[in-house]
Amino acid sequence: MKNYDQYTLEDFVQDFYFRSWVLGKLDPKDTFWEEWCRENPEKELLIQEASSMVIGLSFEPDDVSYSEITQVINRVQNQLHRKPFFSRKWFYLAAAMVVPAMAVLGYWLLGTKDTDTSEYSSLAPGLAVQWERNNSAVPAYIQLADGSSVELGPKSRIGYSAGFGETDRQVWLEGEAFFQVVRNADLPFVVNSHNVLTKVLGTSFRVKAYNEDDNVSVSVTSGKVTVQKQTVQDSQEDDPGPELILTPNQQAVVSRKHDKIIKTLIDDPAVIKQPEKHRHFIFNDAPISEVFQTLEQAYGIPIAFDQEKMSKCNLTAQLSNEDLFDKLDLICETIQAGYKVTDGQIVISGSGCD
Amino acid sequence: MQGQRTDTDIRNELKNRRLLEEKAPQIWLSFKQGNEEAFTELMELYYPSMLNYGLRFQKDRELVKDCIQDLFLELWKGRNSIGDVRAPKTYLLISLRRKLLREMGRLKWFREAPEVSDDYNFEVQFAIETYLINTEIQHEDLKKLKRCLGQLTKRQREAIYLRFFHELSYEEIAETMEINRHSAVNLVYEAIRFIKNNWIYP
Repeated sequence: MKNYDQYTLEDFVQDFYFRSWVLGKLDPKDTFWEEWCRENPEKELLIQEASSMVIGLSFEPDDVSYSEITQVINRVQNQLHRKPFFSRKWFYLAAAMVVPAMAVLGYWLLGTKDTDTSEYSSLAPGLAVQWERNNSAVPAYIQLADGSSVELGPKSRIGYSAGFGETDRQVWLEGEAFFQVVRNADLPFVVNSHNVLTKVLGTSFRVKAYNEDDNVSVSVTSGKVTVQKQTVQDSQEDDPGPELILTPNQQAVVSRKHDKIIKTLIDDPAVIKQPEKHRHFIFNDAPISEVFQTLEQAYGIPIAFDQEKMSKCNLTAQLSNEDLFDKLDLICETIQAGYKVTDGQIVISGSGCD
Repeated sequence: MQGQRTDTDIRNELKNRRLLEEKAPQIWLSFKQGNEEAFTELMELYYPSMLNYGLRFQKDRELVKDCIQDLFLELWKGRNSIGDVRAPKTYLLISLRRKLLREMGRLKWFREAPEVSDDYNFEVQFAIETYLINTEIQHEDLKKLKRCLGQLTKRQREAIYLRFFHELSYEEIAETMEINRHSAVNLVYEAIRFIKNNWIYP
């Protein structure tokens, strides 16, 4: 035991145990200092002064977010592993490199002025430097340098920017892919596909952009995604057009030919949050507003209906096994109403109940 | 005076820190043997302390971040040539200090006339200052304390910061600031005595 009786003001201020007590960092069960003060009432003033000093000499910690730490770790690891840029798929990478190489060789040998030096050039004019393609019949799993992952669909290819993971997180996609993006607020993850930009900070979503399809579709599993259409002439410009915001279970379908973006729902919306009140969607003479609210929260999809008109409608049903649209069919049949999907929302129409 | 943090937060933080300090030599050893997971753990554990220290010299957070990043890279590449390290945290703080001052010296050299000195800034944020700003209590006593703290020299500030914020020993403070142990003790005692004479018993 230290000889605290002999301690001066300076000694107390320097004592780790004392400081921890003053700053409230000790276990509450540890009552040593309270007892010591009781036993040494003549030291009260000294203890007060020493406490003021300790508090006066304490420092403000900086807020360091976890994402900042992750970012620094990722950057360090990227540099350590600069050579093997991807953890897998060297073969595909090599295959993707051969194509432009052959095109260049052909250009050189034949001396033609064909602009088609690379079959990807139209997709990513000079911006993407590394390409991977999946020629197999099953999805290929790819780990990206920033920790995000891509499930690249069959007959699809993906390209990465030169500074991927460091200066930006841009990829170019042709075909289909499911992305799971690691959150990084400083570097948005951008998918370019036939002049449709899909931008996220960190989430999971699917992009379908096949060459032979007229539409590009983006569907969201979790998080928030923005979709934008670039006009062709200024494809390098920063501000292409209005942004569409997608939340889980929503889907954007972008027409490649026309300036048209449709916001709709995915074919089979998933429950993103189990309802707390009506667990398993069991309703017992529940007001219809409560039913719709339950669905709205469970699927994260806005549902619009005329509250006044339908105030007398109630529902008794067990809807745990049906998917969302079957649930809506059953509900609407009961209350004699209809529904349609507009702009990523569900709109209920009906004249109410008696 | 602890802002929004609850007692539980602080206790957890302290507990984590103790666990961390106990584990640190083991992690360090593992890192030196080339274990990349241990290396990542090391970065995770010490990044906040290093950033906090770095920001005292240089407000540009990105520059500090870059320095820490480079430092870790060099650390990994040179892991075989690092001698015995008693406390990893102190080792990292020392390395960061040197690197940052060198880097800032270089920037300065480009911007202004070359100058050789230990001329650097050391800005600390005392909890009391944040408290004054947040509460807007115009307490005479606290304002006086603030004035006193402002009168400490930058070396005194750095020494008490290392002592009371990072809980370093005098040996470690001396090593970090590249001074001898005696000077480190003096700096801390001078600071405490100054506050005592000008604030507690003026």
